Amino acid sequence: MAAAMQLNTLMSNMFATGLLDDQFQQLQMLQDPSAPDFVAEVVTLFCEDGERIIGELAKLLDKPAVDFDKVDAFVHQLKGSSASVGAQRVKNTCIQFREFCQGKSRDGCLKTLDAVRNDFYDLRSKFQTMLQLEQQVQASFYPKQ
Amino acid sequence: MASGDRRHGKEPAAVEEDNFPEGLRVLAVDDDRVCLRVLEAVLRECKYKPTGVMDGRTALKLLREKGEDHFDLVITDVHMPDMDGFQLLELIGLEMDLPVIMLSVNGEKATMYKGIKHGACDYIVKPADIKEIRNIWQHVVRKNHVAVIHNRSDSDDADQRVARPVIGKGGAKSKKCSKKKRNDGEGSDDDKRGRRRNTWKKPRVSWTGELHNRFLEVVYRLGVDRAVPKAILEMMNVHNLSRENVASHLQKYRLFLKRVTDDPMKPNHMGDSSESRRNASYMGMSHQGVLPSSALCPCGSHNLNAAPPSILGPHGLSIQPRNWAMSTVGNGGLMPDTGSRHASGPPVGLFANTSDQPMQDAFPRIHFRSGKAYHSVLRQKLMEVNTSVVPSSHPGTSSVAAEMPNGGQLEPANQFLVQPREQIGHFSGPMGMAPSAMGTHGDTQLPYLAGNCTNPWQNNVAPSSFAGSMVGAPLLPSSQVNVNLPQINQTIFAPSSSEMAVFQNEQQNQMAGTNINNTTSVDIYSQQMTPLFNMASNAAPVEMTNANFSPMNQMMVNGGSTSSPSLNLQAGNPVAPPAQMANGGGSSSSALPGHLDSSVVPPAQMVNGGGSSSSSLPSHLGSSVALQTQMLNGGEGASGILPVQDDPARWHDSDHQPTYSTSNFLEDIFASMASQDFNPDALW
Repeated sequence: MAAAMQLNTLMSNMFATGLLDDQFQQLQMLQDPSAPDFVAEVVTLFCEDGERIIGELAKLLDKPAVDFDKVDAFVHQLKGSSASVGAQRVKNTCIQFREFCQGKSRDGCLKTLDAVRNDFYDLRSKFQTMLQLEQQVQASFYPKQ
Repeated sequence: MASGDRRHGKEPAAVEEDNFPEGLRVLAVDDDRVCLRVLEAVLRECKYKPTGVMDGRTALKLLREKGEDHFDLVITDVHMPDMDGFQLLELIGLEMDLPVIMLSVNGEKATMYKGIKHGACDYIVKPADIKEIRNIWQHVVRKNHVAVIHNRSDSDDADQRVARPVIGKGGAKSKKCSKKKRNDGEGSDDDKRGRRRNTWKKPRVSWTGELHNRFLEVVYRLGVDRAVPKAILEMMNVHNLSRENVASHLQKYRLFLKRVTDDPMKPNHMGDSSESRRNASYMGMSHQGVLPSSALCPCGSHNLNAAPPSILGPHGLSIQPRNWAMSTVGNGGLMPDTGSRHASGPPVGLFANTSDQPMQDAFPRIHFRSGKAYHSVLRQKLMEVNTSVVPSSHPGTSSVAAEMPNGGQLEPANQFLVQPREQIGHFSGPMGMAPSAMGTHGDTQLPYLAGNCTNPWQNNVAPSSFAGSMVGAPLLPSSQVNVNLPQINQTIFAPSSSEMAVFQNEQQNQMAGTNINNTTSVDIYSQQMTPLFNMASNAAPVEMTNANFSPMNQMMVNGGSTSSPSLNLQAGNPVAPPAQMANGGGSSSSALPGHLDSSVVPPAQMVNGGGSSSSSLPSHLGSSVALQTQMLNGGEGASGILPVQDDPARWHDSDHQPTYSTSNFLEDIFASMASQDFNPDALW
């Protein structure tokens, strides 16, 4: 099926470019009949939470006096969730981000925030495509659903 | 833990079930829902039963409500808003005995180290690999098993007890070691926890007071130096006790003796103690001076009977001059010291007020009466004491002190540490009598005590006899003691007292879980801590050592304020919460370091966890404040040891009232004890 092939290509690409890592494969393995939408759920949550965190980060960095501890806490959280879903690139960018936080460098943080945002949005759009393709594949295999 | 009852001597039941560890009930805590979801999925994949919560408070609430039996293991994220993972770890360690695994995307060594030090069984870096998660059941088994191993090994148990920091295993192990060991023969029947997870726990030998008494008797008959495990075992004639159990117990005992003899005169325990003692009730309650020993008195007398030589035993010294009656709350020193203060004696509860019986027995006998919940008995006793109820005679049942549910009563005397025979020699005449006095006391009920204890704190105590016996009663500063025993005063404060104090505390801790220590005691204890040979009935020696703190423990019990891993000296708390050693062991008392507000010396908290050897306690105690080491419940079973500090510590734990008046305190203690599956055996 076209959808299946596309999905396949997409996934390979995501892995190959380092957007995703082994952890995502683990998630895929955790999906089973008892939790058929597991990956979709986790991915969706990740996208929502990530969006929210990035928004918070932007707000915090926008202030004249930046509270780096709070920034760090958010970045840490994003790092954790991205690590849990296998979002490798986002995770790595978060690592860099934290260094700037610890160095209390606002500029560095702002720059890295941009990088994180880009990586995140990139991943998110690919995730959305993935989910759609997935649905199509499933629909084609299980037309009754 | 009920498991001991059922499976004493058997291999851990954990492997009895073929599908173990399936169904392992894991509480997962993470503030990030993505991580939590993923973790739950991994846990489910391993056939475990996860419950996910998003913050520490909810986790604690759940644990408290459902009881720790409801879960087998906790996995928690480190970085969380509100209550971070370390705090949660500590609290769990303090309140209950559950293995806790830390999880974090932060894989920095320092953080990992911190986690393990706080008592975490393990530290996993996110994302949690399924292979690692698959193995977490080992922590559960290990925890339960440790005690068995401990009992069996002839190796140096003390090592295990000594604060072994961190090592994920070590933490768990030591924690467990100190956990109550149960002896089938004795009374763990009151363990009301029919936990499901008991099935996965191995039975442990519980050196209850009674058992210990018997042990002592036998040892003395054989001669301390010549007692060998095999002979002891034979003479003890307790079935279900293995040679290894005896051997390890003996070893601990020897260490204890050694420690006592090596350092009989611990300066701090006597020193300023009078002051502090007066101030700090033994129980840590607002010191009221001597705790009415009346209740305890009878117990004290029992001790006399016990093992001959004045061996300082964890149970305290059997001999307590009446005057001294202190609080020794038979059971672990929960002497509510409010109320009756009879004798002027030092508040130190170490000495049970045993009438005039000389201290005969280093390890007081603990008689347990079965059928009663430990805490209810304890509570009763404390209440009695509190209300100045003095059992007039303790005929036979010497242990007025709480009747331990295990079927025996804890003789308050337990609290006194009897100095080892060798020590007696150090003292002048009166003391010297002790041995002989002790010798006469034979067994079981202290006949002479019968009826003697009416006024424990009266001046009845025969100075002479007491003197001898007082070997152990160091804690009482002479000044505090009623004058009756002038000679005792001199002698009593033999170093052993410190030991005794320690032991008593320990015992008390164990017994009552409320360890109210006077400051002085704290000092003493701190020193003693390590080797504390706590034969206290319940606490496994391991626990003692680890916990070492027993006496000193601070009330950290419910976490409350002491969440901070290392002593949390709460600013502004006059009594710096003694080091909390809660966390299961991991937190070595070293945390105690001086950061405490000078006024308060945080007693090393040895939390359960064994790992933390009391060593930390030492000296920083200096300040007048009563150190309270808290025996955290969490850890090794120090259930409910809540040393009450003079100063009502502000425990910020919402569940505990910050301020305690003595009577309230007791109530609170009991309430909390009752609510938390109080396990008498696991006093530590």
